[in-house]
Amino acid sequence: MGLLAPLALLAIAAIIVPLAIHIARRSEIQTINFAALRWLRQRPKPRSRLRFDEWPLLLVRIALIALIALLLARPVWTMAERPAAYIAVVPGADLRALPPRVEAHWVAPLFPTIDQPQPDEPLPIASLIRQLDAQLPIGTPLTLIVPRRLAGVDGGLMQLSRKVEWRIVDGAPRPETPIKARPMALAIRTGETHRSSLRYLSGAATAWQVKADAGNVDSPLPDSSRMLIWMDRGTIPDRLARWVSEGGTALLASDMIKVDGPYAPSWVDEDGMPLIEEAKYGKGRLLRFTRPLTAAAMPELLEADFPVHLMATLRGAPSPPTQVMAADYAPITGGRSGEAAPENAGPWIALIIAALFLLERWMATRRTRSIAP
Amino acid sequence: MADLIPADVRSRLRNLRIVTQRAVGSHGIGLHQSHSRGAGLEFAQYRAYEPGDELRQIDWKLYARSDKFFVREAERESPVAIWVLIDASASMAQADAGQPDYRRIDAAKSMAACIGQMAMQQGDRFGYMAISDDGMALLPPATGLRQRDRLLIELSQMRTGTGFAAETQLGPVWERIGAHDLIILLSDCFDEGAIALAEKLGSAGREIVVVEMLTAAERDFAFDGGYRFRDPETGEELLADGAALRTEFLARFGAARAELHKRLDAIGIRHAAHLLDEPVDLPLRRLFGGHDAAEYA
Repeated sequence: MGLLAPLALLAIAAIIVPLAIHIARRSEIQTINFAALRWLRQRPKPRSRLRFDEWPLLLVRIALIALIALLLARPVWTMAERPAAYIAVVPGADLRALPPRVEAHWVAPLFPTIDQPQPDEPLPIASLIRQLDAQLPIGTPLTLIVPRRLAGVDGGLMQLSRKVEWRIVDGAPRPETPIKARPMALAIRTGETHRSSLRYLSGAATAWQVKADAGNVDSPLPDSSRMLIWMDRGTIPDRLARWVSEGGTALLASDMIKVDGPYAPSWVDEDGMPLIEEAKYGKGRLLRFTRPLTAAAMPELLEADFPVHLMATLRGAPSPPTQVMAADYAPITGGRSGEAAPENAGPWIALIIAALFLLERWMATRRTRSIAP
Repeated sequence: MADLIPADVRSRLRNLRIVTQRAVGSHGIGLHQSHSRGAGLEFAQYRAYEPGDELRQIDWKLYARSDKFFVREAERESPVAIWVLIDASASMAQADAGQPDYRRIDAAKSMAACIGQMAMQQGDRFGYMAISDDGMALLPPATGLRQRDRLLIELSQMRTGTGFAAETQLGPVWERIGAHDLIILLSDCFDEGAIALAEKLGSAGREIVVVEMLTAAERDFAFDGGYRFRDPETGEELLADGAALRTEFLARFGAARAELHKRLDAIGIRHAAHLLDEPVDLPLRRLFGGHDAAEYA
């Protein structure tokens, strides 16, 4: 049990209201004539004046207010630990390895049960396994059924808080992600004002030993497997924008009108100033020079490693390897055991409050009740 | 004027007689012959002469006027006068919670009316005094229907004072009450003055009977919870819890009453208690009824 807003417990001070209601009528002490007072006087016993009418109703009202204060304090609790074993199946593993009629879950977002169809999008399996380990109550035995080859892993160690039964079965990761070879191919389109920069780009292509598809800006666009360098001024033509958004990669001159979007520097000079910055555009990548392609504005053009930098920038960061043999990726223990996520206890308390309220109304309005508070 | 005597009580009064113990036979006459007429001081009636009447009883002046013989009869006075003494102190104005408009003094009035009724029926003279420090109401003893009505009027006009009368205010009691009279004192006996008066009257040879007028609260003390008890005579107040005081109060009050009874018995004063939730004729029946009739209720 815990409280997210403990200060709200101050609202419990409101129980003075029912207390006051139940005291009030008592304070009027009835005066009666009693002539035989002299036989009464010997022991004037001070009477405890704090008396309450209708104890049960008062208790119900106090409980009601206390629970409302508790509800305002936003209570949470951690569910009781379930020692039942938890079986998780990585998509792609052979389900025949499962014992029959056992409850198992896919290693997928929200951990659906095995009755659901197998998820077939690429999933961050390692991250999901860590999440599962953190979510499960401490002490719950965890069995992971994994295919021989595991996809969706990352560079981190698979270090979990508990000892996991790592059962490797036949099967391949789903979906099969083909590893595509990406040969460098280049197309260059230059406008009238940027003829002078063609020299540097052609030089770089020559250094890469790539036959560049050169042309002016009116030439048809290449297929999307080629990198496109578009040296022109003004706005981006619609056909180029469409070409990029369908998955192409284009490098624009610095005097093109900048397209909106968060730009990240992808090549910086020695002073840390960006030379080429990159933004996502649809499915494709949109890169732009930040300076005109002149040796005065951009001395790096004359450096020997300009083609190397340009190629690296155009290719972008290589995607890290995400597949591993499951036997080599068995989790190790010693990870920090995550606190079980506390659950909001509010709805249950609200239910109790509603029941108490009905009880209070029934007690306060029943026919046999006295007229007092 | 509301009838002070409840109907059931009135029917039971018929076979009850107020009997004195000392005056009986002192005049050599029967018990209660108030209707026997003859010579006396108090004129009663004229009646026609019948043979055998004494000649000296004939009213000759009337014969001169009417030319007929009339005999002048006087009512012979009863040897006994019954005095009802009502304690009219403020404590008598106390009532029970169950019957808030039936006070001790109302019960005393009702009882006085009963006594008047009985005395009238048996032909005895009866008088009445209401004693408080606020002054004394006095009805000299007489008999007959008119005296009964006078008593009822006096009772309806009675007011309560604050305390019992002081010694110096009690002169009329000694002046009026004859040596052979029967005195019935209706009091709660909480005032020392009332008890002292009873003791003195008893010591002086008067026949006195005391009826203790008690409320049901003094018998049961059925108070639950906190109350502010107020003494109507002194104005003192006591804030207390009823249940906590009950046992001790009942013990102390019982002891006080036993002490009172001892004092009264020592002088030979007969006494009876009347509780407000009992019929008013019960103490009269205990005091004056026969053994068989005493505990009929």
